[in-house]
Amino acid sequence: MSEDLTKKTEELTLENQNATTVLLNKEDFTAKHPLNSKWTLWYTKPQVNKSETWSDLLKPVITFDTVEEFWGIYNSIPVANQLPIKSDYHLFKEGIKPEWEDEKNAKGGRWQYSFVNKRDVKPRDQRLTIEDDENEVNGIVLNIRRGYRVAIWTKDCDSAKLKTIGERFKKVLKLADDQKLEFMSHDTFNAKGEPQLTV
Amino acid sequence: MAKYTEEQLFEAREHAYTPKPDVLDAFSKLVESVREHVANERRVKITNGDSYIDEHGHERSYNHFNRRRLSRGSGPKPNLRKKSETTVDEDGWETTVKPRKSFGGEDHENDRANFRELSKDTTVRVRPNNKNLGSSKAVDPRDAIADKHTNTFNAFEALGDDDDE
Repeated sequence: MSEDLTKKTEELTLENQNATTVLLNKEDFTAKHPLNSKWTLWYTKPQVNKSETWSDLLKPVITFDTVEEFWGIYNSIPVANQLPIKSDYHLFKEGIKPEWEDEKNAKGGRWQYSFVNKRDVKPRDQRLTIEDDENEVNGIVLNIRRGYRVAIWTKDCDSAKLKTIGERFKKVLKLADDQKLEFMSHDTFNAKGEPQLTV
Repeated sequence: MAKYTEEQLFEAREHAYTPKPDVLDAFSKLVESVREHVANERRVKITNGDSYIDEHGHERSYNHFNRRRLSRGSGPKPNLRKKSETTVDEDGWETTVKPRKSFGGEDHENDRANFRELSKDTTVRVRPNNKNLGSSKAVDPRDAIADKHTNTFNAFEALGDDDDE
């Protein structure tokens, strides 16, 4: 099954490369809404066999570059509560692997929050987006554990830019004032250090 | 740089388009197979590989049958101490008699004799405490000394022995 998926994703190309977009024809409301970057959805499969390594478990699923495709994928993939424990979803810009070793992640960090109880997560359809004018966000991660852990991965640790992203992320997650969102560089996270920023 | 309002992003949902349905289908099947595998592993861990279907059609393990009965319930212990007996004579004087704890002493020789007479024909069936007979514990070598001499003390004999005085 996993090999089948890998084979299919290797052949992956975006259909309708020359399709009409709203950027070319603003009058056409059925035209696609292109995104500023291509994004790849990755999935980490829980280990079911001890011979499986990290690279066997982490696989790209699909790449897309329009808002319509995002919704199509969103509607087709299993929702978080249908994923087995120890699964992860990663949504990263194309060309960036969801690993802190990737050179585009190496100098960055993550805004992170853990929902200890899965029922604490607010309804998922929220009319809130995170603006990324500075092109600071590399990807987002959802870890399925006993609870849920959500994180935004950034390309660097510039606190002035990070604060805005963190505050917006907190609103998206609908966290209360006493529920603190924490930022840690990947180096600090790996050394199990204290968060550098909280909002 | 393309920038959309939230309304535009949500409106685009109506035109959702799945770029590679076969890839997403294969992915969903992969997740489903992992889910089943994890659920099976969990079931085996809980039931130790053996289970039964109860009257409601639910799969249940046999774990509850292995639970040992508590030696004592959680309620309060009954008070079995004998209360002192009070007798009132003709003049209204009350006399409190302490409860008799045993048949010991010369005062109760008749009681002892009566008791022995009553229990003479009674068959006493002794049930062994076989709670630990099936234990898998290693045998303690100190318990294996079968013919160990033990001194026993019989309170009745001691009380009835005149030489003791």
